[in-house]
Amino acid sequence: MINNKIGIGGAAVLLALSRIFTEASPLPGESTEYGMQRFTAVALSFITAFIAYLPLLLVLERTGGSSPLGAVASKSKLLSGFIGVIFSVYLFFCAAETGLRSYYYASGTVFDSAPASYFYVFVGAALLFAVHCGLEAVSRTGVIVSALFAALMLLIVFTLLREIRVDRLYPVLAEKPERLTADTVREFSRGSEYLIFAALCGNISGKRTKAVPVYLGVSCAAILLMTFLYNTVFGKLTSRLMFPFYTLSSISDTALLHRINGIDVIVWVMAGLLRLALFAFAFRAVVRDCFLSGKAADISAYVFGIAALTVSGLFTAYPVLYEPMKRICGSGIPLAASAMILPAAVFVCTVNRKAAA
Amino acid sequence: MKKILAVILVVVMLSGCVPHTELERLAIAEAVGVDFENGIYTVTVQYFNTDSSGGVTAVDSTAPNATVAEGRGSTIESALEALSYKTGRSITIGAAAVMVFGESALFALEDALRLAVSHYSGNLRAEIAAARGKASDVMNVRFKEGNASVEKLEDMLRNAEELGLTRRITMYEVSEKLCGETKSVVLPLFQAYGGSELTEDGSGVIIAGGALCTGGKFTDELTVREMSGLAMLDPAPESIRNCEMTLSYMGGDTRVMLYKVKPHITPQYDGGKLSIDINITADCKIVSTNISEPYEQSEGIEHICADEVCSRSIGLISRTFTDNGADVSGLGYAIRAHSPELWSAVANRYRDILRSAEYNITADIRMERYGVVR
Repeated sequence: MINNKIGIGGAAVLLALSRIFTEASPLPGESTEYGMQRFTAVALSFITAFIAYLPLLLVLERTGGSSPLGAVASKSKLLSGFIGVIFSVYLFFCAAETGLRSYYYASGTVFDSAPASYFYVFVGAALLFAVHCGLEAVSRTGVIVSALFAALMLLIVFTLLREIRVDRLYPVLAEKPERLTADTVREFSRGSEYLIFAALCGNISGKRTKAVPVYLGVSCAAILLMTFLYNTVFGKLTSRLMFPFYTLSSISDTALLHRINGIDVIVWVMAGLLRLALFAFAFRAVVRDCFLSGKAADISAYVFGIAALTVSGLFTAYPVLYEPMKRICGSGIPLAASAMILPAAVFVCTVNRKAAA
Repeated sequence: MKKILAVILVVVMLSGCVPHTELERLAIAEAVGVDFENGIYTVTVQYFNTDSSGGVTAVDSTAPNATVAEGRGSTIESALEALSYKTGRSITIGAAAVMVFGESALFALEDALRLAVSHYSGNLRAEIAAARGKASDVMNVRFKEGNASVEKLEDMLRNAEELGLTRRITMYEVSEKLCGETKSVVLPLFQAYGGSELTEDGSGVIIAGGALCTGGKFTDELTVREMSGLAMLDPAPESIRNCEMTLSYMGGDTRVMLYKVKPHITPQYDGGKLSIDINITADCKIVSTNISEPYEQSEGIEHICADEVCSRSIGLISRTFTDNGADVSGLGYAIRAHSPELWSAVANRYRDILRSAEYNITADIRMERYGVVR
């Protein structure tokens, strides 16, 4: 039987893996700059993200065990339809972007000569299978992939211990203060896991609000550690590397495995797949809460997955199509707007209901 | 179970439909040499010979397990393509352990490494070296020992570093140094020569010092002694035994091994002039000596060892920092870590600042363990 309920731990691990995936698989133009400013921007972006989550976490107390979108839909179909459309479009772009990230990562590292069609066919088949298996199965796979990532990180730190040169760090929080806001917003806008949590929190059993600080804390720590390794091992070379984390794993030389970039590829191809599946589940939840119910909602997840991969294939072939969407979503405005609209709608609906009662 | 079997069957039966290259159709490069003459690149590749399995031993010269081939082209990529056409094999450089650049090709160092690093087709741990004259001369030396000639080159570099004759450098380290303000790096320098008893045809290779590349071109040659200074100012992260050196003391030769070598850098900027205090600390132990009761003399040996470390470091600084304004040891990082404001003040005219800077070198060497005297 397919189970779509997951625990707090599973949810936090999935969300953290999804967020770290965007760090390990940058798109062209998203290169990591050498310097201390990145630490500050990352820390500030996670503080901003936590603040953005706060209204949702507060209103979740009012909705009981149900999803916030469901709570809005039960009061106002029009309002839930409006939010549902915004969420659906944003989720669709995020899923297409995830497909694009996965493709760039795979083709930029080990599968450089593989045709794009092979990638999309295999990932598409795996995505359909993941959607068929359900959220719990994806969560279990997420735990395994996260454990693999933790092992990879440990191996990298252990093998590169001699090459970490702390004299490449310097005591400046923001060397280009005029760019700090833009850097922080860019980091913040990568946290589209907000949509996943908002849509799927009805599927998290237990004290679901706890998953957010855990996910934010873990992903912030992991990204800061990755940034530390880039700066201390590569120094100024960091700015020229397309996939610095992959490069770290390429130069890590363990006694038995030698280069461990193979593990890196397994982790991030799997993480990309899991992220795509999460967006598909989130879309299904939005459709179920706001538009359709029953089988039609289930089928929508499959259609969403295939459509998102098709569009990401189009983005690969015609980057000019991707740029406008990237500019809009990279501004952080859609994410910030989602973080305001949904809690406000839930608040209005639940206050009205209580007043009516 | 049926599902798993179905998946396995699909994978096994359809794998032949995917384009693939058989191992014997690949030329897996073990060492790559790059030369440039009259606007044409010559890439010499020493690759694993898959047809050598009939050899009686691993170094059977009738069936050598490494083959050397050359390709020419107007770019390094086109030279590799020409090589692929000539050998009938697809060239794979991801496993190359050594890359050697001929003197005339050193200007292309940055582009060549960017190609390897950015496309992830290169081994970032590959040793990078220069060749006095042509790199192809080094590639074509056929050693009698070792599974392939490239292993001998790697061993030579490793051994030379332990003996305090050079400072090895890997591809990602070179790429990092070329990102610095002065784009400067020193590569170990090979020299091919005739009359060696270690090779099949009498041609041999020695390590002749270092090649200084700065600002995108080959600028100067460093002596072995200056390369030893580099190993002290910028010790290699991988070195467990940093280097050995021979000291003349009490009328005899004493050979010591330095380890845990660490430079401590304190910059000062006063009146538009940069002054840099470098204190090198290291532990040492005696490797061989002909002094009777050498352990009684540990203080004297420490003192003379410190003098030698200072002398070698000054030699390197004078040749690279002062003469060429080339930061070859990552001094810029140390300045910024010490004072970001100072770095902001000097970064724009760093090369000129390095030329006029004053360098004060001191060394503290401690004989923590005596070692085994041979």
